[in-house]
Amino acid sequence: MRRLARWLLDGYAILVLGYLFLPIFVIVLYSFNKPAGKFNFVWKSFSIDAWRNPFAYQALYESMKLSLRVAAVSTAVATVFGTLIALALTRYRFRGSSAVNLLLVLPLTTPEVVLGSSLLSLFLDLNVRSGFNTIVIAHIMFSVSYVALTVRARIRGFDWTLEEAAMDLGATPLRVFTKVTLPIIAPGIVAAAMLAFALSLDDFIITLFNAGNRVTYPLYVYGARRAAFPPQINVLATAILLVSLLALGATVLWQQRTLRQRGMSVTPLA
Amino acid sequence: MSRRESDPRDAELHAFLRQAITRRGFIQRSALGAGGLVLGNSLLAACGGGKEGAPAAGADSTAATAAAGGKKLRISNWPLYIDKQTVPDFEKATGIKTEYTEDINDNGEFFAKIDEPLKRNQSIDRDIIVLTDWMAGRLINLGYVAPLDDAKFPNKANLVDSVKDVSFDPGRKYSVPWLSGMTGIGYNPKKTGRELTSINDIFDPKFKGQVTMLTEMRDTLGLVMLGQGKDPTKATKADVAAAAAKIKKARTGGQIRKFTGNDYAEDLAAGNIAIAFAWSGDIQGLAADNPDLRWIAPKEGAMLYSDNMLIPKTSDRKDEAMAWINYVYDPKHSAQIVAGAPYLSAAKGTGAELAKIAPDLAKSSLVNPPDELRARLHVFRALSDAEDTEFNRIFQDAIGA
Amino acid sequence: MAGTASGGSRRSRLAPYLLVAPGVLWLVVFFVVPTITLAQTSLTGVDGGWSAYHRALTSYGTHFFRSFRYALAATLLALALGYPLAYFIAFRAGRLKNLLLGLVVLPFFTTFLVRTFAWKTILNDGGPAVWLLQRLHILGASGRLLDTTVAVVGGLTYNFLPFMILPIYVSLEKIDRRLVEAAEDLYSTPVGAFRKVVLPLSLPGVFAGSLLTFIPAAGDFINAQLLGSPNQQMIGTVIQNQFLEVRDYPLAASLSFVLMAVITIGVLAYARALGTEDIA
Repeated sequence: MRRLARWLLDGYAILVLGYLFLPIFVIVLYSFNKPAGKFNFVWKSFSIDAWRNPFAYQALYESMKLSLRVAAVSTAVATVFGTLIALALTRYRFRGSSAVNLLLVLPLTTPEVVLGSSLLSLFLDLNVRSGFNTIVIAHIMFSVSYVALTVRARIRGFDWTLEEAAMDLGATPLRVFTKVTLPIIAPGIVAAAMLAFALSLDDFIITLFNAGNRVTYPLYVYGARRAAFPPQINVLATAILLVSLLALGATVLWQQRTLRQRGMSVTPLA
Repeated sequence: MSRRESDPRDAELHAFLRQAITRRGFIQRSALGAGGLVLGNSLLAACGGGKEGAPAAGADSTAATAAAGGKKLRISNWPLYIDKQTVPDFEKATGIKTEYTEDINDNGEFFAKIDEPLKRNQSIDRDIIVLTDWMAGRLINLGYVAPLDDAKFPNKANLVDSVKDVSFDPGRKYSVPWLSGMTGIGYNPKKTGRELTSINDIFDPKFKGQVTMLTEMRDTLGLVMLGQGKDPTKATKADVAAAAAKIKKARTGGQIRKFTGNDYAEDLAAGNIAIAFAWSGDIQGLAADNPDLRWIAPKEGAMLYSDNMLIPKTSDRKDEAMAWINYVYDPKHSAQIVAGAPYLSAAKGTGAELAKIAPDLAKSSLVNPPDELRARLHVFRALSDAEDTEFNRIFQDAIGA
Repeated sequence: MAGTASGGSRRSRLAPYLLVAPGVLWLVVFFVVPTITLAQTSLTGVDGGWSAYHRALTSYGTHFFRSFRYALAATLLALALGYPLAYFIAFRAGRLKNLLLGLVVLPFFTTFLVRTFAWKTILNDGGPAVWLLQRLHILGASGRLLDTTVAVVGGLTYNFLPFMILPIYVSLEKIDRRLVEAAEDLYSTPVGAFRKVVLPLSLPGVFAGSLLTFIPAAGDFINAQLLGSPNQQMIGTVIQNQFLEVRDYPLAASLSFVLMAVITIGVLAYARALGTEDIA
């Protein structure tokens, strides 16, 4: 009975994963398409032409590089800010915590077109030129809430007496944080960072207002579709996926190696 | 969830803590997951693409060029609206370094971006921007653009007659077209079962639910007006209201499947719809893969839209900008542009030059329309700010639910 | 619910403020200040004062309700799809945990537009999805998936699924496995163990995930634009149009504030219902 329930769950989960990757499959497939014209909507014939000529659209690659740089910086900063807020909100009772809570939720409720344009007005008032920095600032702004809420879901229910116990054992507060608290909440931080990274890569309208004359990947694709939608876009998307997949796989293998070396189990609590 | 509840667990707790304090690397392992994603993709980014492109450098390259002696020309245009040779050729011919960015993808969005800075007389870091007729008109009315220097524009003589004088820029003091396109009817004869000739074919009940119109107000209203026998170049509020009413009725009746930007292209290609108000350039781009598709300028007429070059008033490189504008109005150069971006040029003689370098393209009436076709093209009347808002409101009400 | 840190030292009383300072300052400067300007704009309607709000509520009530309906549907669907997957990754995936988690987020590395085009290919009138549903007699001969409510809600669900999965995963993953085993011993069915032990412990994640899904979905404008017909137009698209095309800034601003207010009140109610002591 229990095993049946397990198999049902496993099967269902695999199906959902499949659902997540259904459009990805189509994207990869169409990177091998060979349209004679400028759009890539109808399947013509299998060809690796686009793969052999992936840099045909220079601006496309420049835009992807820019997007990755922006995402890296904004993710790092937003993760730090958000994690600190999450820690403060769950660990302490303090005056103003409800206000902070509200402040976290409000940016999520605001329509993006409004977020983007109001921010632009602010930059103009402050005489800040739009470009890489303003894009990063904007991305940090909307990512902090996502990070804080995600990390908080992790910390909720954390037994802070663990920290006291550790200090009883003679550890300094910093050591307590890095050796006790951080390992337990780390999965939450990592997940939040992944979310923030994805959000940044995908953002369109807020970036549009604050990019000056820089072009990020979503901006390029949105703009390009008016004139053409070449398979190179699919090629780039597939390449990004492949590299990420390889990187993920590598970290898993690394994890295995270090764990086996130390003869430890995977999860800290089980 | 305190673990202090049961005694036996205390021992475990202490054991765990000792483990935690001495175990290293957990954080590193988890961080690797996220870090790997970032690093891996950054590596890819580093590998991809040849030279560090000029558009990416931004402020730094401006300083570098200024130091080198010349002022860099900064052009903003729509994506895929130029061939690959023109910019390098221009740089070689004139010695003017050029930074060409494809960051305009919607008139309204671009305007929202530059409105505030130009209002405060702040630089927008661009010397030439390319915007559609009505948006160009708005910028001109707001005083955001600088007049063209005719003394540096001898090739202005090549301007095609039909666009020499337009209502939004009398005498062409501030703008000249970069490329133009036509808005008409795109359709699949296999799905409609017959050839179409009139705008009002789109309202034929036989095609219920298989029809799309554009979210572009002037194109859609203009075409419907032509079908009602009205002249868009003289559109009155009553005309607009009548056309909007007809559209609203068609929408609520289920005749119109949706209102699109240029995503009608994939719907046509996939067979989701049979007829669309369509831009000639799109059908041209689809033609090779979908030879069934046709574009027609209906018998009542079609709309002409141009994307016009404008010089923002805050630009300090007006001479360089004029050099570019003059350069592209040489029919040899405009033919090269059209060969890479198959739209209409407004420079006389482009057709003949095009026949030399791209004979097939030159034969296409979508790229090189005969005079008879040009005569049937209309441009929507230039609107004041108040009219623009009011007509937009009427239109949005007609197309939205 | 969690025990808070004891300790009355001066350092720890200052600590929370120091911790939240960077993030809060950032949000205050780059969110609150611009929003105040927006609020001022919303009150400058043609007929002065609250006229823009009046128009917002009377003309666009349908759009508001529709958007909330779609967002709710998408959130529930995301919950139904995401919770089991999060559970699977947390408890059944063992060494592949991080890999699977990465896989969940991976689709986001292609842009929204590229993903949606792929969906359009799948959902095309002559495409595989419609074909299958027609075979199963779920759709009629002239039935279609694109430009319907199904497509829009489907798009919303798909694009916000990672936002549901990740928070639920993080709160599930920290549950002590021995607790679950003990519960399974106590309750005869795995469902009972789940209901009494795992589910309540995962509520923080469910709460966070629902918020991160519902709120942005309600204000979304692009799914309805690309996958829906005019009958599916959401309030986000209206605001976008009023802002960029019609340029009626007071109306756009007031629509935004109404949206923000309603959602925030909804979140408060939801928080109270779930029994959490604060708003998020």
